Amino acid sequence: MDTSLAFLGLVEARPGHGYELKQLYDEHFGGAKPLAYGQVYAMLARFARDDLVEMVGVEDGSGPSRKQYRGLPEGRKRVIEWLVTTDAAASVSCTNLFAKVVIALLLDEDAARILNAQRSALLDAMRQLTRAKQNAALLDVLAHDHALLRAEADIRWIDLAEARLNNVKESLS
Amino acid sequence: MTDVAYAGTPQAGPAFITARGLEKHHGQTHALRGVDVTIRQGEIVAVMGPSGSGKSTLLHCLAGVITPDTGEVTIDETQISALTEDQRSRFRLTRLGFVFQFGQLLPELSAEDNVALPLMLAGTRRARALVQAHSWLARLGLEGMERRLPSELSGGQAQRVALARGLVNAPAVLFADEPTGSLDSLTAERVMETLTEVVRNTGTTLVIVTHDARVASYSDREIFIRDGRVTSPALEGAM
Repeated sequence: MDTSLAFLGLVEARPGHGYELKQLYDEHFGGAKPLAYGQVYAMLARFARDDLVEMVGVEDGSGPSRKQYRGLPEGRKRVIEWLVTTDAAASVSCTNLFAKVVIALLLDEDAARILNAQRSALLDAMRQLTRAKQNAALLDVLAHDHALLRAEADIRWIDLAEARLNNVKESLS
Repeated sequence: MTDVAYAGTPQAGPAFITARGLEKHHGQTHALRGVDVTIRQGEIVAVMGPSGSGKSTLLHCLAGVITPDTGEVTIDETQISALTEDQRSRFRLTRLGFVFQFGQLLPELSAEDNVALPLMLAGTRRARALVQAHSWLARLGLEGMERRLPSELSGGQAQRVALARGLVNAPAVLFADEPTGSLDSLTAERVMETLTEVVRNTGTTLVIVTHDARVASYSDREIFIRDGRVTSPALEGAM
C-alpha cells in the first residue's frame, strides 16, 4: 500500500490535526502496523511544503498545541491520480486496492469503477498467463497455474468488495 | 452504456454481432437496461457479471432465444428481431450453435445421435448427419465412443459431446453458457483448450457466459454486466 497517498487521501476527506489523522489512518489501514507519530508529522510537513495541504489553525489545549490541516486541490488531484492508476497485475496488492476503495468512498468518488478497472487488468494478465501455458514445459505450466489462481483470488475479492460497497460506504459515514 | 475495447483487444474482423439499446423485463425485474454490444467476427468474448446481473438474458437475446422488449440484434447483417418465430428458429438451427452447463445431452440418445440432432432438425438425412457427427466426435478426441449413452460418459467426455453438437452445423456463432460449470479444474481447462482451438481454427465467433475468471482468460476480452448494464473497464476521465 502507498502509505503516503492513503494518508493524504484521509487529509483530503477528513481535515484534522495530526493525532486525529493518525487515529483515522490506524483505524482503517493500520492493522498490525500503526503509523509512528514521527512519520505522521513528517508527512504533513512535506504535504504542506508541496502545497498539497495547508495548516488552517492551531488548537490550544492542556498538552502541546495541535496544528489543524486540510487538503488543497493539488493534494486531491494527486490522490485522484493514484485512485485511477490501475496496479500492474503482477504486483496487485489487495492492501493498496483496499486503501484506494476506502479513500474513494471517503471522497465520494466512484469506487466501483476502480474495482472494475482492476478486475479488467487482472483478467488481461490472466489471458497472458493462459496463452503462456500453451506448449509450455510442465514446470512452467505449474508456475503459471499458481499466478493464475492468485489473480483469480484477487478477482473474487474484487467481486465481493463490489457487492459490499454500499454497506462499506455506510459504515464509513 | 457501451462495452469498451481496451488496449490489447484483438481486432479480429468487422462487426459481426451488434446489439443496440436492448431492454428486457422478466416480470418486475428489469434484466437489461439499454445494452449496446459489438462483437467482431472470430472474436472470443466472455460475458461476465454477478448472479442476476443480466448476462444470461443478454446471451439469450443475442442468440434470438428470447426477444428483447426494445432494441435490436443483428448477426452477420441479419436483423434477428425482425424475423418471424419460424425464421428465427431456422436461423438458430443453421447459423448458431449452443453449449450449456452440464451439457444437457438427451439421455436416451447415443453420443452420435446427440451430435447429429441439430443437422437432422435442419433437414439433413440421418446417414449424412451421422458422418458429420463422427467426424466431430473424432476431432474432439471421442473416437470409439459414438454409441455410448450420456450416462456412460465422464463429465469431460459428455461436455465434449456437447461441444461437438454445438459445432456440427458449422455455426457462425457459438454461444456457451457456463460451459465448464460442472467440471473439475483440469477437465475444465482441457475443455476450454479444445473449445478455443476449434473456434480459432474454424473462425467461429464465440460468446461465453461465465462467472469463472479462468474460463474468461481464454477470451479475447470480456463484457462485464452489472444490474442490466454493461460496465466500462476504462478509468480515464471517470473522476
